Amino acid sequence: MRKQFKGGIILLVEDNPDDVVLTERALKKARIANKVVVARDGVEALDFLFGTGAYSGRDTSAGPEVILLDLKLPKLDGMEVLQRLRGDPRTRLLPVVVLTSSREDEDLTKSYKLGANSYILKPVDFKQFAKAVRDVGLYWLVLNEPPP
Amino acid sequence: MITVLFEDTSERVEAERWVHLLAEMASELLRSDSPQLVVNSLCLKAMAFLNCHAFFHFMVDESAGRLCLKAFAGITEEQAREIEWLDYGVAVCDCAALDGCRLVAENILETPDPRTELVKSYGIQAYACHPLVAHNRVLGTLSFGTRTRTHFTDGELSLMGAIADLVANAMQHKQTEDALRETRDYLDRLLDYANAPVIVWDFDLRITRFNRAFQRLTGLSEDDLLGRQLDLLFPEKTREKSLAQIRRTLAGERWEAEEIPILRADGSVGTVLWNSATIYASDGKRAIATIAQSQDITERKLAEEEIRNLNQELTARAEALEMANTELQSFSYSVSHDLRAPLRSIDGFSLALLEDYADKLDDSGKNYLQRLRMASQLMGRLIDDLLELSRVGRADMHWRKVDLSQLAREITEGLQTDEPKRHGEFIIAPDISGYGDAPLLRAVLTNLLGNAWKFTGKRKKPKIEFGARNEAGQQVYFVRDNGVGFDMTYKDKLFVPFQRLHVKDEFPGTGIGLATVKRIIARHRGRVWAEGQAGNGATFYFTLNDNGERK
Repeated sequence: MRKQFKGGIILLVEDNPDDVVLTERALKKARIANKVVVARDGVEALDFLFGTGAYSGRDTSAGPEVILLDLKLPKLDGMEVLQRLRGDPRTRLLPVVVLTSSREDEDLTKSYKLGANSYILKPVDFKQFAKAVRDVGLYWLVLNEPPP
Repeated sequence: MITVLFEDTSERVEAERWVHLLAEMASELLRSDSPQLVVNSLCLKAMAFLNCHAFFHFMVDESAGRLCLKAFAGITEEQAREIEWLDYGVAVCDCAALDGCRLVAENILETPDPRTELVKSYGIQAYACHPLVAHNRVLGTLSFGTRTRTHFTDGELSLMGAIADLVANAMQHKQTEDALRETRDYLDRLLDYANAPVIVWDFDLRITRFNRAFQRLTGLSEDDLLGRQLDLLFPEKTREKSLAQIRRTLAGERWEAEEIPILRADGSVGTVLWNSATIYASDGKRAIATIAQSQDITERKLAEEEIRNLNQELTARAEALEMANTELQSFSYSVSHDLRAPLRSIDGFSLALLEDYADKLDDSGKNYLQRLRMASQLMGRLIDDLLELSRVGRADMHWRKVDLSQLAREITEGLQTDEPKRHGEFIIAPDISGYGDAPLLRAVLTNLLGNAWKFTGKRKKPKIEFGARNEAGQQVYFVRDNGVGFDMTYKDKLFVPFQRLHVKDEFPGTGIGLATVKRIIARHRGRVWAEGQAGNGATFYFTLNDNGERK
């Protein structure tokens, strides 16, 4: 399998600093060297994506390549962020991987309904998480052809 | 002249006597409750007065179509019995009754008229019969006869006529009175025996009539009610409103079903449904009173109130339950997110230490980090199991027939595959099915068979059975093993969350599995119980749909 690193940005929307460190480590372990931008709540994520607020003036055409989106977030939660993304033509087709420790079936169904591309459960066993991040990250960053 | 004067005087004296007699008779008739009863004595008096020797008093019996002898004098009892019933057109009396005219037979011994045969046989020479006529109706006859004279004087006949008229009028009066009383009694009885309370009030809102049902309704006596103001019927709180409603009836308003509370004698308040009608004077125009009929709906109102209260309570409880459920859901949600996050950190950073700093740690340090990871992962499983327990309690159920034998086969194959080194004997009875929710029933069998597999871990030949037997028409499912079993003393603790009967090192587990089983079976309206012996295997039984319903 020929790896095609696209070198784009990974947007990690996550409020838990431990999870940020561990996810970055998992990506590194999986040899995914893309730049990771962290948004600590839903509003910050949207600012980054649409070049508003703290990110005003950002060139929004520069990605991200994929969004790792936690569901439970301060201010705007993950579901709302997803809904905004899917409702805007600029981000309608962005790959979104939902990250959550929630096993609630409702979350799963709802995030797929809102147009999540994948769903990673954050188990307590970190090894499993690292594996999932690797697999999903590789899929969306390497194998998936970005929309034209 | 003297003679004439004497004549005059004697006639006047005679006339005075007659007037006196008639006045006496009239007063006696009026005083009497039954004119019939005084006729006899009156006639005896008149007979003596008229110098007669016999009298007969017949009454018309309309239903029999003949006359009936009611009083007599001057003949024997035996003779009287012979003429107790007299047909029309045979003798003097019946003919007088038939025609409604006075009949006078004089000089009878010389008369060939066959109608006089009867009185002739009594030796009567002059006989006068007067019909008792009132309102053009012949009620009977009254006749006098003399054995010594052949003729009556005009005066005597007039007197007899006057006596007959007096008696007839008294009788008529009596009959009218009786008929009136009968009608009134009948109406009273109609009212009194009616089940519906009825009350009548006049223009001054005074109670003029009521029936027994009304007294039963209110508990008030006749004295409490009759002639009293309507006010007393209503509790103070609603009195003015009720009186306003009542005044409208006097203006001609009709109630179809008006709900008016009434105050009972014992102080309690009843709810009564009323309908009313205005009573008009005989001219049909002037309203004189209102009649109202009521229905006691206190019980019904109370029942309605009760139902309303129960409904409210139910709604409140449903809301509380709904709220508790929502709270529980948000609680589970935060448990699943927030409680796991720190565990993930512990496990993740322990792993990072183990992987990134392995060269700087000795074996003991690595061992401690492993223990940290084990503990955090166990806690992660506990959280997952708890969430599962709460989830089975609220998951939607889809009822259908589930092939339990098939489920048991799939589960045991999985168990065997996970531990290929162990060799278990699985005896699964074929074609066992039950009604329920497939995923939940799978969870039940996964737990029970998983337990059986776990607790036979130290047996050389683990033997695990799944089957069902019929007990009193009910299917009882069971999972049996030859594992370590348990002490029956603790059988009730088996199904309590976090209760474990074995030390963790020996048999790992969170202690929530059987609690989950119990909750699922409860949701299937079944029972679950266990039998066992320490060191000698265990059997878990369960039933589904105990009341035979399938929802």
